Amino acid sequence: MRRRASALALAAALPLVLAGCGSSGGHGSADAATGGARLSVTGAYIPLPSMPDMAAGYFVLHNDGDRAATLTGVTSPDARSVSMHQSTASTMVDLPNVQVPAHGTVTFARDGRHLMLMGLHPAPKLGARIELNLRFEGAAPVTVQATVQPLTYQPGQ
Amino acid sequence: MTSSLPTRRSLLLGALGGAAALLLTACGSSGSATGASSADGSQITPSMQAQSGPYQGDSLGRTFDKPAVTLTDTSGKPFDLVAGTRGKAMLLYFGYTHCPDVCPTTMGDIAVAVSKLPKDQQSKVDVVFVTTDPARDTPSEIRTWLNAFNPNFIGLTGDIDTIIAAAKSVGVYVAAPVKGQEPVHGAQTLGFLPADGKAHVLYTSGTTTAVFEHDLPLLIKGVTP
Repeated sequence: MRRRASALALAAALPLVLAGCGSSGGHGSADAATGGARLSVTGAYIPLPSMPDMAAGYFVLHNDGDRAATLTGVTSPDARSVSMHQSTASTMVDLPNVQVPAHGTVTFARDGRHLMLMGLHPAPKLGARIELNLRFEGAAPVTVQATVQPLTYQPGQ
Repeated sequence: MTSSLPTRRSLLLGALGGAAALLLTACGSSGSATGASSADGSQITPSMQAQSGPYQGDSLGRTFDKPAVTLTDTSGKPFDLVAGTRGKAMLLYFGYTHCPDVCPTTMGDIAVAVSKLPKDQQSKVDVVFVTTDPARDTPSEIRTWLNAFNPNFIGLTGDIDTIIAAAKSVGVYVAAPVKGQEPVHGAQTLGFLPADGKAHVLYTSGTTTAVFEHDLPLLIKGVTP
């Protein structure tokens, strides 16, 4: 119910964003009316977590516009918290924000930049869609449905 | 990861010139062994010899003995690492279960490679996961976590100082978790041969399933790099 309510609220406020999301999983886009940054997301997925209380999220961020934008944070109605991290050789560090250059692509992928989703509720199931809301500085927010994939899923294989 | 390597490598090659080409090729994948040191203080790095060898993982250019420790397995029983894995090939990884990216990626890549081995070969390799966050990772939590990859994988916990010492003895950097900070996982997985029980091959974070798939039969066969 809560999820439907927030979706309705979004639908009223951001028709363009939702139109851009379409129905196919893993794709979302927003066209900022005010600026030159045009952000879209492809290939969003969440490996079915081995622990129910935490998961990683991966996607590819595209900016087809003439101006850079900055990803300042991600939220999800299905997660208690979502943070952006960068894996290093032996640990990971917080990413407060991520620059997306004009006509550039930024990849969140295994062993690199990733989302850490804590407290997912309900517990993710294979094939489920988990909504991610990406907030930007210099561009409108983007909403995308990330698909829950097998734990060992690798895009393009 | 894999797709970025040729770029990085070719940039390096361009900068360093032709003379370094063979050396860099031999150094293999990601060379980042920051903070890793062996018991005698020497850095753990891939072999610097200009030869590729049979393995796609990095030849250590030396060997490490299997850590002579007794830890606790996921049923709560003592597990002597040397005796418990004797006569089998072994992959050894230090990590923690509340790790969203690298730890499950590493175990997942190994699990997929193991699952592609013929059944009789699968029983000839032990995959051992030692927690670097023993205060949080209980034996049953480790079991639940490993079962998502392969129920036969061995999970071990114990006193953090014992785990740090065991990791250090094979050149893997592990530190005790600090409150408010993310725990540390090993930057590499080590490949041990069945006959001598020594580590000969190194797999850095980001090693693909294909590399493990290629190398596991060699490790099981006991091929020296």
